[in-house]
Amino acid sequence: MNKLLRILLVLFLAVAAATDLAAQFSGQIGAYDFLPQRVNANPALRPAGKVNVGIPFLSNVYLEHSNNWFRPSNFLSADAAGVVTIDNAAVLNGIDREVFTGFGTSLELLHVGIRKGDHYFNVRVSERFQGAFALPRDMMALGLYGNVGNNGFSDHTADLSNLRIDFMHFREYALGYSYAFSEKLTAGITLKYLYGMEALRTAESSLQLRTDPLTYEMSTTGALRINTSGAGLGEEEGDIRDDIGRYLFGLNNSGIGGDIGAVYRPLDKLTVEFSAFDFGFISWREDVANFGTSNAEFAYDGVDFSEFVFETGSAFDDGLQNEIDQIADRAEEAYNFEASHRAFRSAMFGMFRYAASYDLYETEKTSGRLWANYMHAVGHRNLPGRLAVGYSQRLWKFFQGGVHYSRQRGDGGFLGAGLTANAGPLQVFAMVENLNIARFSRYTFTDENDPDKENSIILPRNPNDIRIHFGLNLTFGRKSNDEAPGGEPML
Amino acid sequence: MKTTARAASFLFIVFGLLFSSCIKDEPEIRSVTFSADAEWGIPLAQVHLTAERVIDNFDKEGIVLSGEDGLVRIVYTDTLDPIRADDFLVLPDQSFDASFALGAAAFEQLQVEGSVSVSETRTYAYPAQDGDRLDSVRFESGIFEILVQTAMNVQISGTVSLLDPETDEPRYTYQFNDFEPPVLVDETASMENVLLTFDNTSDEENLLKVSYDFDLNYAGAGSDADISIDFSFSDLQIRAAGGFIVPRDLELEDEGLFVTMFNDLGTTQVRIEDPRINFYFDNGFGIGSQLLIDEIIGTNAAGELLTVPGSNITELPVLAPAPVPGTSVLTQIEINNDLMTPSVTDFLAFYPNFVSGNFALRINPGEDESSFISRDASLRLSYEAEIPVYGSIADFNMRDTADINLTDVIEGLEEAEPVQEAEIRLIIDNGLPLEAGLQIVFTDSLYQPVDSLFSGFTEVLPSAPLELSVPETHPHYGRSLGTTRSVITVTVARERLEAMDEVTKMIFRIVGNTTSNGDHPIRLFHQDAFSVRAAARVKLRFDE
Repeated sequence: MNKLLRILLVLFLAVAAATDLAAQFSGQIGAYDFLPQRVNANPALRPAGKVNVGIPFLSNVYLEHSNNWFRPSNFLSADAAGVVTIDNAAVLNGIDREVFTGFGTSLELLHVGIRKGDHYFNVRVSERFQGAFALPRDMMALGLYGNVGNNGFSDHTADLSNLRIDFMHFREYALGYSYAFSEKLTAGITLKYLYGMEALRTAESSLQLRTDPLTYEMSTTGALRINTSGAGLGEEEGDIRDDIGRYLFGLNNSGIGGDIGAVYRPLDKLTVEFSAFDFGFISWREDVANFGTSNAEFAYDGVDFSEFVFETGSAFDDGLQNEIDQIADRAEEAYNFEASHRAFRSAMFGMFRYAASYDLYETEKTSGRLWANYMHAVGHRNLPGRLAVGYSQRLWKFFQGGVHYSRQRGDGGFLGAGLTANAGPLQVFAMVENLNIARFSRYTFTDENDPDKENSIILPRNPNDIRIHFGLNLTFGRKSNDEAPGGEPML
Repeated sequence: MKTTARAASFLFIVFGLLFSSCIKDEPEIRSVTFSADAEWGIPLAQVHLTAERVIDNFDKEGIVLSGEDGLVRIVYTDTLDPIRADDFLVLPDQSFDASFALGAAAFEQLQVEGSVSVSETRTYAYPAQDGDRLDSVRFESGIFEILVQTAMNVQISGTVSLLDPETDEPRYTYQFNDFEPPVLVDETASMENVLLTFDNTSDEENLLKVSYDFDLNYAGAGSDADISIDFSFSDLQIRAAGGFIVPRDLELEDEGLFVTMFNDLGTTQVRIEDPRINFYFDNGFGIGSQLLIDEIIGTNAAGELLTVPGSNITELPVLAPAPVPGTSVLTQIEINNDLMTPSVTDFLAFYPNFVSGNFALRINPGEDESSFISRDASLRLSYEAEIPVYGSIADFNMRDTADINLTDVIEGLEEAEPVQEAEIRLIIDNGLPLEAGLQIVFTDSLYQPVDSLFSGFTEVLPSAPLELSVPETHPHYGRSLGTTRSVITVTVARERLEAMDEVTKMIFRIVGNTTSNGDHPIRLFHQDAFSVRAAARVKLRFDE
């Protein structure tokens, strides 16, 4: 290994030790020369092919799931008799401030990219689904231990401020362009029109529940507001999906977004890059409903009998009912269960990506590179960044594969791999960020009373981070590294 | 070549890693167990009560008030029947006779000229029942009857007028005639709203001046005879009267008042500092009066009597008259410890739950010469026992038994399997200068103890801190300065409650007293209050 490689390794260790590492996006897609979809990681990156056409609906299928709590080995234990015990303390100990579950799917409907001299143009359309659910740790502790048990609350207060549920379905129309200013510098930009279809967004979540240690008086403060669009809860009756044409193309939920990026080669074998991608917003106006309150201040300290304690018979019953009604009215006023219908805006999950690569060797038919990148979300401090370090190997103009190691705060790091293969113009690729998902467990559930009755299900052993890319493209005019105009394709 | 082989090998490995999968293990699950120990605390109820409300609820007969100084007082009231004008001023039925003889000359004039006129004024005394010397009387109702008759063969027409003695202005005139001899006029008229004025001299009272004026017309041969004109008043109801009302005493009927707080004291020692017996008068008469107390009688729950003779009570002042008709004067007279022997405190220390009195009302004790009364006016009288909550209570002890059925509770507990233990917590903030203890014993039908609320008799209500640093005569001595908090926790494990399925009786004993068991007096103010908060803590165990 040469000196630069040792520097990169030291840099990785230093960064890994010093920063929060995590991201929810594929870190390796920009590392593959042949892949047209590398523009997603940095619009300044360009594939080796001169003309690139994605197979509609199959050019880039992305599946993602992540969670920070489902680690069966941590909280499940089984004995020889098949009795599985759930250890709740271990469930809570295994999470930080919240239980997070996220998913995402992206389906590329159209992808066309053309290079002309120093210019590269690309047009693409993707259908995207994103969702996440976060349950505050204190809420789980509340369910397991109660409000006055061994729940570990600070100042007897359950912090429910991370309670979130988010979902978004939208279509992204992108127009990308990059220009090679010189052999060293390439810059690119992508403009996007975002068409929103459904959304459920937690706009504000800061609820707290305090229990007085002496009187057990329970009081809530904070806010919880949720905005929805397309859930059938708007002012107008009916479902936006009843008119399928309007649903697919005619809704008044619009937004704009964009990516920018640059690639620079300060040395012959060294390349550095920066990109900001997935920035934008959508204004939701169709079938909008808003729920919640900005001031959920409410205290319950028992039924107050003062006014009617000396009454008897129906007078007492009436007094008690009135008091209960008043408590219910105050609660309703505090939590404001009624809906409003105001348009709202949701921002995209923008990311910054920093990357570098070093050409280890190059021959006529093969080349090998070391690469590293770090990605993090912008404006979401609770989401850690992710660092990835990998090696890719290219064989002729037909195969390129790689392995990498990535890590973020809260996980032990994963080994991932990817491969693109070209058979003539047909290109197939597949990438997985966490090879652990390829290891499965078959769970067989047997009825205790009827041993012959059983059901099975196969699940990944460690489903905490699942990110899979695969797809089919047609690429034409792939050039070798030396022939690639406007600078080396970057990793 | 080597490099190419290595690269191909590397890619093959990547390919293999990427697309290979294997089932690493195949756990068999027969059951999933889960356990959790949760503890939930929830506030149940609260009550905040002022002293006024508590006393008001437990003593329905008494009225709970707070004075200007804020001290709580319990008042037991009795109202006597009002005194009306008819009760002491009566004009009896009275008749007046007059006879007129013409004389020879007048008779001759009658025969020759055919008519003769007679006009004469006379004065009559109209005595009142009790010797009242009236200046004027307006009647509400009454009957004026006149009888005119003569044996002469004449026709007659004329008037009888009741005159103002000073101005001779007719106050009332009755006109009569009879044109068909023999003359006989027997008629009546209403005295409603008729005002008569009287003259009074040193020798005679209520002198009524009457004027007779009548004409006789000759109706034919006949002899001379007297003409008699008699009139009378009957069934007179006075609307208003003025003059000198002779002083007299009216007996008042008193039904007595119930001091229910002394109904069932048992062994409790109660001492009331500075109580009062108050009398309230609303005098609508233009005449002074004075309440005379013959005796005050207290009867306790045992039926014993304590009588305070009137001679042991300081004479009460005269009540002021109403200044003008249509108005009234309110007067309050109080008998405090200084005005009665035994003192009112000592009288109440007898714990009389019924107090009555023999009272009389002296009308016009000052012998005012000019008074007025009217039918619409009255003199209203009520009296009360005012008991300030200023004193001491010692040795309050109450024991009672109640039936209880815990079957539903235990059955509900059996269904609520996760419940392991329940804890009831009472947080009591006592701002009253009282303290109390409690114990409840749960027994079976044979009164055999099964369980008890506390392990021993427990003080559940410690007294509030009191102001004792000032002299005992200071108006703030013995008042509460704040609140004292006590927290009582009763833990009921599942097994403990399940063992109470035989419980059918609940015997509770309450002991209470003012601070230091009555060694010093306390004062209870209207803002003094106590609050109780009840909360529950439940331990749950989930085993699935």
